[in-house]
Amino acid sequence: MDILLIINGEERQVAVQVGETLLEALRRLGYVGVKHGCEDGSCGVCAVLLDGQVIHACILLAVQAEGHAITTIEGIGTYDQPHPLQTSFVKTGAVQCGYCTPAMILTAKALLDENPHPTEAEVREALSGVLCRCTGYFKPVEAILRLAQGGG
Amino acid sequence: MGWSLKGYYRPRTEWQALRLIRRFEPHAAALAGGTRLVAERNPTINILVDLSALKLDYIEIRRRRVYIGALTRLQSIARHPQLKALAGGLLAQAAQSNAPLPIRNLATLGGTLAVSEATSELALALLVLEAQVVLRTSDRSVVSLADFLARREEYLFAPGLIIETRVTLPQAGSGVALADVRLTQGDRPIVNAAALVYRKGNILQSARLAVGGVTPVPIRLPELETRLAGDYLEEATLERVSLEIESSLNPPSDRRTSAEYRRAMAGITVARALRQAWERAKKE
Repeated sequence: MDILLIINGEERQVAVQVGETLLEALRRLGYVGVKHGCEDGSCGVCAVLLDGQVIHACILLAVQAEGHAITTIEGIGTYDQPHPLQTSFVKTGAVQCGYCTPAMILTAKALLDENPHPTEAEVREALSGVLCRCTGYFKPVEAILRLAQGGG
Repeated sequence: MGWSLKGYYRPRTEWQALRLIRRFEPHAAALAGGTRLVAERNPTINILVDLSALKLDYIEIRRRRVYIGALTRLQSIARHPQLKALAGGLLAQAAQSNAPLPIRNLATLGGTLAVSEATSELALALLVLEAQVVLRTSDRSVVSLADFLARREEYLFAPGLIIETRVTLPQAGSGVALADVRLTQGDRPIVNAAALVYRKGNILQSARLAVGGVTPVPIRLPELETRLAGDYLEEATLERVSLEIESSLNPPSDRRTSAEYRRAMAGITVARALRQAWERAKKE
């Protein structure tokens, strides 16, 4: 079936299978910053923003996202013009293998959009939906707090 | 991955939704947030009836009654300013604990109760708040959450839809608490418990207790509640509660832990929730 998705601000008419997840649809359309992990909502590497709220794209069908605004990592910064969170992650050394980094950054963006000055506990609670198998939580938390405290 | 589905419907009324489910049963499923349904990709399901257009996403608070539509996201409950304050913030806290943020942004209260896990914090909290569930079957009925959880399949396979959850808030002065034991902070609990207590001085006027992780869905502990009412609450009482639960429950072993450990922790967790609720309750 044909559905309208608003991906990174761009309206796209997309043909999807009914059983296709948003993760599968986005990757098929070339948004490969959305990573493919556990497929059951446990690991969080497929995080994207749906109307500004962080969700797992592997447990949402593409048809459920019809008419909604989706933000992927491709939509928030480029190599030449990175998002301040991306800059803060790089400066802080918060990237290890990188596989969960898009999910971490999008999760942090949703958090800071709603709560520009979170406590460390609030940052950790928000990031609890993303599993980093490098076990690298300390630096991402630091990078987010650093930006929130104006030290980007 | 892949899930081969034949049809997807997004009805606008409860009746249309029920008619569709009936027409395609047993191969149709009601889709709420989808966090469980889509994760499971049950191959016998090939028709989805998406409930998202039913306008059941609301939280209304009138006097001491709270009405929560079945399609309300867990995060809407967790961050609701009034629910964070009312009844010791029990409902908001339970919603927050029930799942991590990306799931809370999708999962709904109706879906959470429909597939309630053994340790669902929301089910525990709603049990001690004596919540009612409004169901749409061939007619509209209101059942207690305890009854719904005990006969869930019967109600849902009728077929039936959860429409709303209702709670009467406890009187001012009550104390509430949630307690749990987890292997790690981010893991689901092994066991958990909720308590709602009224006290007068050192006398426990009444207590409502619920325990999770020992049976397929969380349960109330009515016999224990009856015995505790009107008694003093002292260290010895809490120890007795703990031992009594340990000897009366028969939980399963699973990949997280053994039945023995779970049984011992169930006793301790209920006693801990009871103690905390007691300490938070007003003395008079």
